[in-house]
Amino acid sequence: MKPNPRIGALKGWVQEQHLSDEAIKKYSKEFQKNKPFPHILIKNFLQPRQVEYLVKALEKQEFETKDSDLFHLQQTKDLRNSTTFVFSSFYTMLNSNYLQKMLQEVTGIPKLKNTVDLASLQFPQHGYLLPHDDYLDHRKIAYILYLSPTLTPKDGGALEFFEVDEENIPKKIIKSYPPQQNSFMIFRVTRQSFHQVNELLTDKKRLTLGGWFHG
Amino acid sequence: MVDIQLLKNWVNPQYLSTETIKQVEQAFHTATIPSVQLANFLLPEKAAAVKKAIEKIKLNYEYIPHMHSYHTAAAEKPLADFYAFLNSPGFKTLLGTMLRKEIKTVHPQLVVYEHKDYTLLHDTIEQRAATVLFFDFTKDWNDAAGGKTVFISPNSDPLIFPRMFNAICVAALVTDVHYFLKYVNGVAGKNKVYLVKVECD
Repeated sequence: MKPNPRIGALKGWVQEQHLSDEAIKKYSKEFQKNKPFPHILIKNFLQPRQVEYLVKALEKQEFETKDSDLFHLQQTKDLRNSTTFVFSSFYTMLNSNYLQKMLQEVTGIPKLKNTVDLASLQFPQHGYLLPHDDYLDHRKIAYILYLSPTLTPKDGGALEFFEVDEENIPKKIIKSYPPQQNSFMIFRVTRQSFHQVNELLTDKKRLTLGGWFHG
Repeated sequence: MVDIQLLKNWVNPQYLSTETIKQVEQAFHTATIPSVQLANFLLPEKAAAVKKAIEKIKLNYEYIPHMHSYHTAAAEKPLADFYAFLNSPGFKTLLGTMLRKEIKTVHPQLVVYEHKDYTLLHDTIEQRAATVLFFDFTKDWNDAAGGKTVFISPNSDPLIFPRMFNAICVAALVTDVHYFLKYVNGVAGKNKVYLVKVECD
């Protein structure tokens, strides 16, 4: 049997069913096809024990409240250089050639730079992130790993995608993803990738790790 | 010609005294962002009448997701008296004296913000230099619901004006000063922010 070249650094982190050629082909097709802009939500992404370790480690992190016209939320410092083992290990996995290769295959974006941002966001009750596109020249793929228990549409906190008109003006929401624990969202960052996180209406927290893969 | 009686019919007499006008003028010009908030500006019966008139107006929803979400009205009939007062030489002179600026034109607009409404700052839109006023007709507002008016400038801390019934907030939109209305969250329930926004040139 041919060894799976994607396993490497991903072993122990990503559930193996996501790493087969068939899975990658399926994700790639879905990523390109999904509207309003290329994206995919991969459910049950990490090994469950890793989710548990990440959540436990985040409980010990300090979150700073961030408030502007665009958002009301809480954020950790940059976790890329964290000395907490589970974060440095997670970052190594994100930044590995194995994951970058997998992302290139899924997204069709040929050159990623092995530069990834990593921070955690926590939405308190009534926290929100209003519509924006994330666009910066070097940001190629946005990623979000959902860590808190699954929320219902009634709870709020859903990631929502906007359709744009011919002038790239966002018009209406056509996709809505309530947070599901251990799902991994990736989307292509462009001038059309308008999205928001709608207000969290429950007192349950919405906890994620996320950032951007640069290219 | 300034119609003093019209001013007296609308404005709290406190704001018509020379001494108060001087204090307001000083406060406005010494703020880090030229601005001032004046509580109880209108006579109570006038403020109540305007609020009542606003509630009768049918509103249209204005939504450009990455810029704003609010409600406004083209029909101005119920507010005709109030808008006539704002356009009067007396009000323009009073305001001009407070701001040390000749006010030639005023453009009032009713804007209403309910749960999920907001305005965002937008760097691609050039804001014309003007003076902006917000007449506040919001009642019983819970500050935890957001909906505050915030003025920002790169060289100073944000100026945050909480909601206050019958207060006016005036600011000069000099270079690099921008403003937004903070997202109205679920704490607001069915309560709404009622503002008459007035741009003055």
